[in-house]
Amino acid sequence: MADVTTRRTQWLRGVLDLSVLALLADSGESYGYALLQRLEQAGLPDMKAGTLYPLLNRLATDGLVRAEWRAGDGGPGRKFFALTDEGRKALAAMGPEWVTFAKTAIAVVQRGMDKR
Amino acid sequence: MTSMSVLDKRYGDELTIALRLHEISGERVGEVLAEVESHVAETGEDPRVAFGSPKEYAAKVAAQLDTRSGKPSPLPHTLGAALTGALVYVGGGSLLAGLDGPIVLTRAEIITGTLGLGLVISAIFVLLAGARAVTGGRTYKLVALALAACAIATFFVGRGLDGGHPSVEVPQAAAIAIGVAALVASVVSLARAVKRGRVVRPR
Repeated sequence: MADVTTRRTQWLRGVLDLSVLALLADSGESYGYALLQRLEQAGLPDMKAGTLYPLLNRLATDGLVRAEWRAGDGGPGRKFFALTDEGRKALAAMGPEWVTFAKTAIAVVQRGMDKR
Repeated sequence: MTSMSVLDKRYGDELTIALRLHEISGERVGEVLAEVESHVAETGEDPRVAFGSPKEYAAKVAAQLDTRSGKPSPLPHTLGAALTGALVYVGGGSLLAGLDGPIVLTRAEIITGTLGLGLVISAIFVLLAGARAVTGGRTYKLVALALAACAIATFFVGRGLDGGHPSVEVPQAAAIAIGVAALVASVVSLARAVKRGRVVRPR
């Protein structure tokens, strides 16, 4: 059986795109490092930049978010992401599906744990 | 938009090469490098810790570029290279022959010439694919099949057709015009390939 960290990473991968869409819906717009920090603050640590950035670009390619580079103050610029209408629709459609799935999974695991 | 100084040069160079091996466009390579630089500058993290090794990160970038196949399609790049090679071959041949006079071609010459061109281009791709070993088994097999088919067809068509009777006669002026047009088109095709490969940083 995989250790806890490995499992958490696997679980997060399954819902990372929805989580990012949800964070962007909440904040309006954000960039890679800020999203990593917010994931960590939300109790979803261990996400690497090497996983998040390609995902953000895939969401942009799929038209769910739009990306825009903005110049930094003396340093490198930042690439900001914001939800598109398509992204909002995807979140509205898949968000409830995920919540239902997660609740079902929790109920199954909880039943087994209660009967130990 | 930024300098390479914030990013370890070796990491940046290795990542550029790794992305190139996945046939990723220069524009996308520039975007990825800028993202890594921006993140490293803000966090101070080691890029190998944050993004993984250049090879691993390039594979992740390539896997997310085309969500249907998991990889960017090498087809446009391959066809562009094959087209450039064919244009140089046809253009150079037509121009040189046209300067001497009209071009007279038999049916067998037309067919075996076309197949021979396919043979040469296929052989070049096989050599490249074998040397780099990055294009994937499917592409390698398809090109190897094309190579074998051209070789077999060239042999049989050359023997089966009467090569003695002229089939097509191209006037001298037309031969020169075809040659010049094909060579110009090959330069344009090559310029497009160079432009696609140039690393462009986001503004």
